[in-house]
Order: sequence, then C-alpha cells, then structure tokens
Amino acid sequence: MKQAICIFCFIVAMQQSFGQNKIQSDSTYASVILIDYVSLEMMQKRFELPYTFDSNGMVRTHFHAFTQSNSLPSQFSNAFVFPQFIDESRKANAYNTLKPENRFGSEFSLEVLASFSPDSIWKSQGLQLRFGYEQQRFIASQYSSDLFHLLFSGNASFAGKTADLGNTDFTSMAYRSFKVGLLQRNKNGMFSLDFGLVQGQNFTQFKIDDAQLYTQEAGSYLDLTWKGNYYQSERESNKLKNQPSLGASISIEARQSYRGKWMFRELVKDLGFVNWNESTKQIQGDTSIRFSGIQFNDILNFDSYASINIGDTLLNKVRKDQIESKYLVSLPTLFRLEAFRLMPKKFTLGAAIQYRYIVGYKPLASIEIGKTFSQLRAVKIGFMLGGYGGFQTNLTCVLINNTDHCLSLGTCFNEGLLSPKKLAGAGFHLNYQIRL
Amino acid sequence: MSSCSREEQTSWDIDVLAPLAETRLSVENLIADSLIISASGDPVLIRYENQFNLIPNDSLYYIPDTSFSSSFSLPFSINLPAGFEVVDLSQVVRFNYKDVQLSEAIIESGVANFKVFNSISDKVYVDYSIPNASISGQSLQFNEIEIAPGSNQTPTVFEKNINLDGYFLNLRGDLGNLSNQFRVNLNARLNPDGNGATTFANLPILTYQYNFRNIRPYYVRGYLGQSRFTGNDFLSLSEMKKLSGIIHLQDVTLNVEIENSIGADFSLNFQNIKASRNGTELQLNHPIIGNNQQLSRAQNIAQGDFPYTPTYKNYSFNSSNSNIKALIELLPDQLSFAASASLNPLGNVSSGNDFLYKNSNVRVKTTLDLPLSFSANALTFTDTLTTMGIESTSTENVLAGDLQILATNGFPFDLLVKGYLLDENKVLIDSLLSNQTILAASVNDLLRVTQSKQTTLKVPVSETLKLHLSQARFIVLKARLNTQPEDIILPMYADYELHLQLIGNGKYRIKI
Repeated sequence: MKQAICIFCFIVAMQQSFGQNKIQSDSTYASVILIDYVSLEMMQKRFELPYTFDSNGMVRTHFHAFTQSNSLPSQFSNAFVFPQFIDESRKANAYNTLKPENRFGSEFSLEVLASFSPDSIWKSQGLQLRFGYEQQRFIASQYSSDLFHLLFSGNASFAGKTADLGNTDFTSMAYRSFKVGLLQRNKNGMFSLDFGLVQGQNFTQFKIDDAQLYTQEAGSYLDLTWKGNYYQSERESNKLKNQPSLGASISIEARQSYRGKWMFRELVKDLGFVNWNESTKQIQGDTSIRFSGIQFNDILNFDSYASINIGDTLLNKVRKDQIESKYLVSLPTLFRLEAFRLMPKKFTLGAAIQYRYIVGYKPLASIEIGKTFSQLRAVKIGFMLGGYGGFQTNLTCVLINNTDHCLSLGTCFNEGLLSPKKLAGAGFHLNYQIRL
Repeated sequence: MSSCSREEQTSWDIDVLAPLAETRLSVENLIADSLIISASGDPVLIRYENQFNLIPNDSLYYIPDTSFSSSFSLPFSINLPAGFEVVDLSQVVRFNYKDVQLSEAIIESGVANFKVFNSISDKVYVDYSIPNASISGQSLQFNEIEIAPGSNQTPTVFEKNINLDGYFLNLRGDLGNLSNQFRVNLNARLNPDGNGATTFANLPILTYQYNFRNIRPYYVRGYLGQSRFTGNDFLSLSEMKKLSGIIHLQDVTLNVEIENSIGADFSLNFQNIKASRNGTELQLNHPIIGNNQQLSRAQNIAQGDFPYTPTYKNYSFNSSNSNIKALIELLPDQLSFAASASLNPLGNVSSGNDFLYKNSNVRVKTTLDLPLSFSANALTFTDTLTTMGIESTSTENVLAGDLQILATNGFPFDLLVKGYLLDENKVLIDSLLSNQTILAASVNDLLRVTQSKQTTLKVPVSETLKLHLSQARFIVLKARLNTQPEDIILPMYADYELHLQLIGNGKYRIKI
C-alpha cells in the first residue's frame, strides 16, 4: 500500500508542479492548435487574402498542460493542482463516480518549432528545413475502485475483506526531443517529416495484472498477492554518472485542402522509443507475501534491535527480486486524423479522431465549431469523447490572427458548463506563431 | 477540517489497520536450549549440571623449588698440578611435603639449573649427573664440560638449564628403601694438559650452585599420606531468580556422582546440600548427609584415554527419599554443596602404592533433573530488559488511534503482564499494560493444550507514554501466571508458545 501511495504521490507531485506555475490544463489542446493552424490559412483564403509562399519561415510555440479522468471529479483532482486537504466529503463524491475501470491522465508539453527556407530555390519549391525542441511529460493510469479506496481511505474498511488491486497500470514518463525535419508546402497542402533524438528523463511504470490485498479481520496479518512488473529509471542524482537514456522518434504530418472548403490532416507524432539505461530498476513479481509484523525473535533481548522501519521491511519483501537492467520503451505516440470545413456565415466545423499509445487512453473523437469575427479573431467550442476521460467540452479564443502573428488561448469548461459537473478535465493551452 | 484547508500540502486521512510487530515466546526463550534435554514431543525436561573437584590443586603433593650453593677454597696458597681434582661432590636432594612418601615420579615440566664459577687461572673440566633421573633409559649426565680460566676478581661462569620434561625420577634413594630423594653428583678437575695453577689461601677456587624450579609431576607413586580436604560449590539456578510465588512441581531428581581417580582411599562426608534464596535456606534431608561414605581407590590400569580406572559412587535424591522437591519449590537461585574428604583414612594400606596422575581428583558431579510440570498460583516471572530507549519516528502524521496486542496463548496458564519503565537511575517513570489478563489455553484429558486462546489487550498510547518510552533505559517485565485448571500439575511442552502481535489501528495523514 505504501508503495502505491508513493507512486500516487509522484503523480500529485507532477501535478503540483503545474499548480505552482498557475497553469491549468486542457484535454483538447491538440485539436485546437491544429485547427488554429489550418484555420489561419483557410481563413486567409476564404477572405481572399494573399496566399503566397513568400515568407522566409515560421516560428511556432505551443504549451499545454492538463489532467483528465473518466471518474475523478474536478473538485477532487483540483486538490492536487491547488494543494489542499481532501476531506471526507470530497472523497465521498469521488467514490460515487468510481467505475469498475478508472482512468486518469495528465500531460505537460512544451514545443518550439522553427522552419525556414535556406535559399530561394527551396523557397520557390515550398521546401523548408525545420528544427525543434520538445519537452514532454505524461502520467497515465488505470486502476480499480478498490485501489482508489485503499489509497484514500486506508485498509481498515477492508478488514476481513479482499481488496482487488488488479488490472492496474501506471506510467509516468518524461523526455525531451531535439528534432530536425523537412516541410514541403504546395497550394493544396503540406507534408512534413521530422526525426528526433530523444533523451529520457524519468520513467516509472508498473503494471499489475492481478493483485489482492487481504486484511485479516483483527488486523493480525496482511496477505498480498501480486503478479506484475515494475520499472523505475535511475534517480536524478545518478544521471550525471551513468550513460544517458537515449532514443529516437519520427513524426509525419500531411495536410490536404479539397475544393477550397475542406481540409484534411493526418498526423503521426513521436513514433519511437527510449532505451532506459542499465540502472533501470525492474521487478517482475508473481508472489504472495504475508506480513504479520516485524519479527522480534528474542523479545527478552530486544535491545539488539537497534532500529527497524516497518515501511522498509514491507518494501524489502517486494524488492527482494529487484534487478537493474536496460529497458526499451515505446514513446506515447499520437495518431490523429482530422477534417475541417468552412461553413457559411464565417462558421467553421472540424472533426477529428485521435489515439495516444499509452495506458488508459481511449480513442478520442472530437467536433469543434468556430465563429470568425473581425480582424480574423475567432471563438471555437469543441465537444469530445474519450482520451483519459469521458465527455468533455472546450473553448478556444483566437486573439490575434494576421499574416504575421497568430495567438490563441484555450481552456476547458467541461465541468458544469456544457457537460455534467462531476468529471475532471481541467486544462490550458497557449499557441503562438510568427511568420518570419 | 476547516483548518486543514489552509495547509499548503495536499493531504488526506486514511484509516490503517495493520500488524506492526510480532514475537513468539516459547519455553526455549525462557530457558537456555542447552538446559532442555527432552525429546521432541515429550514434556519439557530441564537439566542443570555442575562438576567440581574436591581436592584443590597441589594440595595432595607438591615439589617445592629447591636450591643449593657451595664454594671450595683451601686454607693455604698452593700450586695445583695439572689434572688436579678440585671438587668431587655427591649430594642428596630431598623433597619433603607433609607426610607424603614418594618412591617415583614422572616430571611433566620443570627445570634443573646448575652454575659453576671458576676462579682458577687454568681451564677446569666438570662432570654433572643425576643418576636416578632418566629419560628413555638414559640417566641425566653431562661430562667434560670445559670452563675457561678465571680469577678471584673475575671468575669464569658456566651455567646450564636442564629441561626435566618427561624425566623419570627414582626417589627411593641409594639403597632403594627410602623416599622423596635423589642424588646429584659433581666432579671438577684442572686441565690435565695444562701447567697447573696457583691458588690463594681462603679464596674460593670453585663455586657451585644448583636449583630445581617449577617441578610439576605428571605422575607420582608412593604413600600419599593422610590429609583432610573440604570443598564447596554450587549449582547455579539463575533462571529461578526471575521467578517468585507459589509453585508445585511434579518431581525433582538430584543425582550426585563421585568419581575417584586417585590411587588412594577416601572417606567422604556430605556436610550439607542446601537451597537458598534471598537469605532463606532449606537443607536437604537424607541419610547420607553428615555421615561418612567410603570411597575406594582408583586402579592404576589404563581405561580409554586415561592411564587409570576411576571408581564411582552415585547418590540419587528424589521426592521419595528426601525433601529435594521442597528445596526446588523454594525457587532457589542456587543449590550449594559442602563436602569433606579424608585421604587414606586407614593409613598406608597400599604399602606405598598410592598413585596420583596430574588430572586425578575426587570429582563431584551434580545433575538436577527438573521436569517442567507444575501447578502455579500467582507465580511471577520478573525480568529486567535494557534498552537505549524506544522511539517511534515519523509518527507526526499519526492523528489518532490505538495499539492492540493480540495475544495467542498456547500455554495452559493465564498471564497478567505488566511493564515498568525505568530511567537511567532506575527510577520508575511509567508503566505499561495493567489489569488485562492473557487467558490460558485449555487442556484436554491428557492435560495437553490442543488449541490456543486469543486475547486482545488494549494499549493506551499518549504523548507522555511516547516520551517515557524514549527515556526508558530499563524495562522491568512482570508476568504473573496461574495454571489452569488450578491445583493440577500440568506438563509443559516445547511446542507451547505465546504469540504476541502489536496491531496498529488508527488514522494517518498522508501529505504530499
């Protein structure tokens, strides 16, 4: 249990870092940013603004952070973003929304991409070189209702019962990428191919296929059976001493316009791996542990027991099979298909489906309706289903949109505005691009 | 809870029910394994053993260090011719000790030292021998020892240490009819090839010294005389110190074995065998106490690893022939013995054939067999444990709760356990567990426990108690036990155990 708490603490620590920066998160950033980008060009064309390839290049920045769950109320998860005490009332609300299979996800992303044409030939052919830097952090999990009860209410309520902790997955991964690629534009679309050198920063993963914790009625023993795997990258303090954990990625994007009203987009982002170095701790467990307290073999001579830590004793039982070895992990690749259409009266309509290759993530379907105002400012409302959560909504404002600059800011109002006020999904995204 | 919302950390409370520590107490924890001799599955039988020698070392016979010195001079000045015999000495060395009359001895260790000071202005040749000391058939002798010329002012010194280990000494004298003596011969003469030497009146021309040091015989033979020895020792029953109260034992057997490995007769007298506890004494009543017992001599015939064959005498004290059970029910911390032995009470009946080897003695071996079968009423076990303080760390997040001790008792007695915390000055600062009895397991018709009994004891926890636990340097543990059913003697088995578990049931705040 303590181990699970530690892992959960790790999640929250991640979330706290968001909180300290006063940043909220949004599950819908991905669609918003891409629609922003497309809409700029589409709108330029719709309003007969010059659509040329005469720019020297573009710098684009994007930041987003969000948490999302299919079962945790925002009130509960906000306690981790804005640290506060989780009282019994909040717990009760959270318990009421628990499902047989619960998911929780959190993403933090910072991306800077710069593209330019090195000479006039490239420029005339619509070719650009692209360099980029990405900082990514993902926390994704799925867990049973019993595990949640155990973490937030303790095991006392399970006296005489078995808590089912199986079918639990947790992944926390942070990495940075240095990218280089090519971008090809034409009047009907674009195609880009980027290669990335990935440096792994932090990785924790456990996958419990089957686990039960039985608490004896009087508390005289705990029986833990578990079958699963656990991986933990090296500590931060060791990273200077050891070889870095490196990997590679490839990202592909294609966009096509159709009859001036349609735009289609296909994206595969960060298809690749990280080879976590030889200091990665690994436990592959299939065992049963009975804990009945620290053993004092000679209580009449207990001064020989200098110092004993109960937590360590429990963890040592689990850690006894721990090894350290390299571990190859695929990146949480994003696959996305998107369609966008210009509608009468300056309305726009977009639809997308996407999937991220990470635990707890379900295919995400989204629809977004936009309205353009003067000076190409726009407001968009989106509806989506899937991802780490359930049904959600989002709102995006395009604050500046001209031939040189585009700035959009978005967030989610998925709790209580257009969707039931009970599920988490708070987020924030910011995009800015400048044409050189 | 409103105050909690102002905290800067995300936190929540959980209710934890978990075992913290456990221990098992069996008979083996209370009594050293070496004392338990019963077979697995049988009632526990405890055996205390002790052995002591009644005859103190070197008290039967002892060869004292002996030394002799002699100087030779002439009353007038004279020129001694070459080859002149300066000294021709033959001296008897006697070792007398009490009325012992030894005829022979084998030396285990010891040194004979002799020293010659030559004041003559020419070389001297010396012969030295002890004809009655021999090893491997060769008698001890040194011939033609050459000593360089010296003078009265600076005599030449010759010194020799002779290792006597393993030498056989014939102590019967020249005619073979005496004892405790042997002869040393010394002959010194001038260099026969020299020119002679001048000596001066009344000045030493040759000085001779010898001594025998640290002679330890491995074996002696003769008449060992008549001596009386007294000895006392005790059987430590240290575990009993921890007990007080009323106990009724099933039975007790005390066996006393006397082994005589000395080639001489003894008259033995057990003056007393008594139990004592805190100044209270109880003496054993038995016909042999205070009466002489004859102990015949060992035989000088090798047996096993020993060159002699001892003789034995055994005495057994039990509840049918003595009050030994009452002695043990006193819960004594020791059982003491006092005995005396008279050597050769009838005189030299062996015609000088007594013998004594190095390791020979009159050994008294005591064995107390104590079946752990008893009936106890308010029998109290007290033990003092030392500690550097019991401190719980990382408990600041424990908001509330209590500790329980889940006792699973496999013994057929109930227990009232108390603990007293003492500081470094042994001053009482707190106590633990009061008036909560651990219930006894019940027994079947064969008086054997078939199922343990479980009792839950509440442990009140307070900040004061935590402080006192950290300050404690001694814990006096008192367990008062009553066998159940009462007044029936119950056997204890090695598989009986008391299983104690400390269980925490409380609210814990997690902060992240």
